[in-house]
Amino acid sequence: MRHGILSTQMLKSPLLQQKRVHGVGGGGKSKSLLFSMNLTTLIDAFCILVIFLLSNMNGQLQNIEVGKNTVLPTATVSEIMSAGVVIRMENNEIYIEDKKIAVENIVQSLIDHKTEEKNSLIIQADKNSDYDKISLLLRAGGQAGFEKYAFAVLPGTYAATK
Amino acid sequence: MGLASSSGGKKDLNVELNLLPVFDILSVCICFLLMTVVWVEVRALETKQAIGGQSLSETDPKPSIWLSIDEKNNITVTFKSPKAQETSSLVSAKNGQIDWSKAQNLLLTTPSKKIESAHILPTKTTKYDQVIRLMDLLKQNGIKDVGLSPI
Repeated sequence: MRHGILSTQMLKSPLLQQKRVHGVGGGGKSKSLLFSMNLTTLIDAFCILVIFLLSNMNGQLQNIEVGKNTVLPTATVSEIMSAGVVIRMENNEIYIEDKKIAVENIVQSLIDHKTEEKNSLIIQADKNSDYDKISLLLRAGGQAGFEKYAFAVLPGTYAATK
Repeated sequence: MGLASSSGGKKDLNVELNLLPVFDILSVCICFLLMTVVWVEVRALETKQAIGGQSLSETDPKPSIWLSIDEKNNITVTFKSPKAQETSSLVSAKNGQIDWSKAQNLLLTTPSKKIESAHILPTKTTKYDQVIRLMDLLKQNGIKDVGLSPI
C-alpha cells in the first residue's frame, strides 16, 4: 500500500509540484503566492457547453427575422423552414427580402427573386392580419409562378392564444 | 511546449498535458455558438397551390373536405366524395368567434384515411391566425394537401 500507484501519483502530481503555497505546515520555508489552477474541470464544463450548443443548432435552411410589430401565428404541426423567397407584411407595407415594394411591383419583384433553389414563397404576416391582405400575397405568388407556399409560424400549442 | 515532464533526476513517464490551448479553442467555440444560436425558432406550415388551368374533367375526383368560413365566423364543413353524396355540417360561431372545440371535434373525428385534400375558403375579414389554425387542425387530422382559396 505504501508503494501503491495512488500514493506515487499523489506525490508526483503536477499540481503538488507546481504549488508554491504551502498550506500544510510550511516547515519554516518562505511562502510564495504562485499557484497553478487545475483547468481539467473547467474544460469538462466547457466541453459539455459546446456539445449542448452544437446539439441545439437546428438544421434550418432559412433563418428569417421577425419584425418588431409582427406576432406570428402558432401551429402545432409545423416543418423546418426550407429556402425560399421571403415576403413580409408589416403595418400594411410589403417587403420582399427586406426591401419595401409597392403593391403594383410585387409580381415582378417575386419573378426577379425566384431561383431554382428558392422556389417556395415564405409568407410572414401578423396573426391579426385580415385574409384579404394574405390573399393579395397568394395571388401575387401564383402569378409569379410559385407553387409551394410556406407560412411562417411559431411552434406551440393554442392554450395561450385562446 | 505541449508536454511538460516533471522535473527530477530520473526520467519520469508521468507527463502533464498543456490544456491552455484546448481551453482557448473551447472558449472561442462557445462564444461563436452563443452568438449564432437561434433562440426563437420560426417554423413553416407548408401548402401547395395549383397554377394554371387544368380542366375539371382531367382531374381525378377524390374525396375532399371544404371548409367555408363566413363573415360571422360560422364554418360550413362539406365532405365531398365522388361515390357518395355530399354531406355538410355547420359549426356555429361562439361569441362572435370560431367555436374551436366544436370544429376540432368535428375534424378530428372525421375518418381521414380516404380524404387526401382539404380546401379552406375564408372571407375578407377572416383573421390570418384563424386560417392557420384551421390548416393546423386539418394537418393534425392527417390531411397533407391543404389548399387556400384566394379571394
